[in-house]
Amino acid sequence: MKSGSKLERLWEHGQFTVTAQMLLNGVEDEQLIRQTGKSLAGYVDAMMVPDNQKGRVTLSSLAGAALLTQLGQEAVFHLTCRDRNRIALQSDLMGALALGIHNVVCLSGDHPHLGNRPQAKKVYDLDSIQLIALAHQLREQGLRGGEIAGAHACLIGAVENPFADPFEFRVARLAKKFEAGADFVLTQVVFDLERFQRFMERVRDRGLHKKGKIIASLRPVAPAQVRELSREPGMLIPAQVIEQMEASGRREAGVALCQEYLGILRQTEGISGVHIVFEHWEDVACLVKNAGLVPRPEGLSS
Amino acid sequence: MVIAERKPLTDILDKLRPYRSILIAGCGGCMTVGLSGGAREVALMAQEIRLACQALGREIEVFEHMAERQCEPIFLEELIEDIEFVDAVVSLGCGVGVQALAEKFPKTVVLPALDTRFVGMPEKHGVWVERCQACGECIIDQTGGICPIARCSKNLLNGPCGGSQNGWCEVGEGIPCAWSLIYERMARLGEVEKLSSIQAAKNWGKADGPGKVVKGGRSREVGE
Repeated sequence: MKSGSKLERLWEHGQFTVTAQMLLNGVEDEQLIRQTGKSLAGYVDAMMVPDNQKGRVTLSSLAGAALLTQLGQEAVFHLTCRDRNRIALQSDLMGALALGIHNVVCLSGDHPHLGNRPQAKKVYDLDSIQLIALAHQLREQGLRGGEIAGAHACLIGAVENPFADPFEFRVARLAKKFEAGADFVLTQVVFDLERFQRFMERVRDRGLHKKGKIIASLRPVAPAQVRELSREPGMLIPAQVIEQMEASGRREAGVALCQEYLGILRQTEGISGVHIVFEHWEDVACLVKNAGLVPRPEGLSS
Repeated sequence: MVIAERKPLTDILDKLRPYRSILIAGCGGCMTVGLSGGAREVALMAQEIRLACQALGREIEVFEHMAERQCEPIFLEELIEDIEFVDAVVSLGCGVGVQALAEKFPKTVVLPALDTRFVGMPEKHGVWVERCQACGECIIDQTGGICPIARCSKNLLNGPCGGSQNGWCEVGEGIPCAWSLIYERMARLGEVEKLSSIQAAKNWGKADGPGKVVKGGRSREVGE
């Protein structure tokens, strides 16, 4: 075991994992985290807290993950390079472990210009791959040449967007993330299944699915919001999907689409879990239940 | 070259309120070729200030001067006598030029009339683009001669972020994704494989000020 993480134990036992991530709004984040953390117990293996997503100020991901941990929920905190230099990044990695959080997702972070504090000074001292390498070094070697190695037991996650360009380079970047020390990689939310499958083909051709775990993300979205979501950076939603959802008009159309994709992704070679980004926790419960993914396995002893 | 933009005239007039006799100092270097502080811009600003002050009923005497390069103290020697006759100098130099004037003339008020933006080059007539952030350690041999520090909005060293779409940066249409350009160029050069190796964390200590370079001597360096 590299970490004290439940996710790592589940993957070691060959389990297909289910994780979820709430959308925070910067207004009632604490209640949202507490409430969804309780409501989704038994439906997911771990919950992730985003780090000021889209550059909009929300409750700290580290604090959010600590709240979940207090509730007995396995927590994953997202850590971006946007707002912290390597001193603060390392300090937060160490802090997370002290709070009992054994999973981190390392990412560059959305640019401040896109958020609600556009005049903020961006940091980007490290990029996501260098942050992965830093977390890996901290775990494997300790602070200085091994003196406290092992004390930094943390499962290291990363993200990759198969829907961004240049397409050919996305697989190479995934490879770099595993090489830098990532244990698992979350993909951007899947709406373009055809492109995702092409991405996975290339991943399998290079044997990358054996270097670490690849987790496909899904996001149930209401038909009224799908067009707006498609305009967000890094998001690729085929026109056909937008039109179909809008034509349906039913709120459940978003969940139904995810349900269909979840069935396909579970059968896709190289996918070790699903990650559901949600606005309403009930959507997650519904998806997981209908997929026959409950009850979730117990914490499995290490 | 150093690229700068002129501040709004109203801001300049506001700051000039206490003064009755001013000198507008231009620069024959970057500011001339960058069309922000050459002889033409000095003359134009002098005229604008005279007319505006006349309209406002403010008395002002405006002198003009061009230095070959405002950032070099030696070219400011010629101002030693004239400077005694003015209350303030308005600099149409870059941030370095303004400070060179202030250092040369410790008893004179020096005001910047430009906002210095970046080190760049002209893209077409009247349009300049950033190309260098003076990070102190050039690595563009590994990125096809395209700088990811200056041209990627996130200064990424290991490839494009998830916001790169159709060659554009997530920050906005009109900003080319540097990594898209790098990838295309490396592909043309048959060197894409080079982009697969991990670039280690950068020593930003080299970019950190206050910088000093000593020719043939030892420059200040920060390392880990």
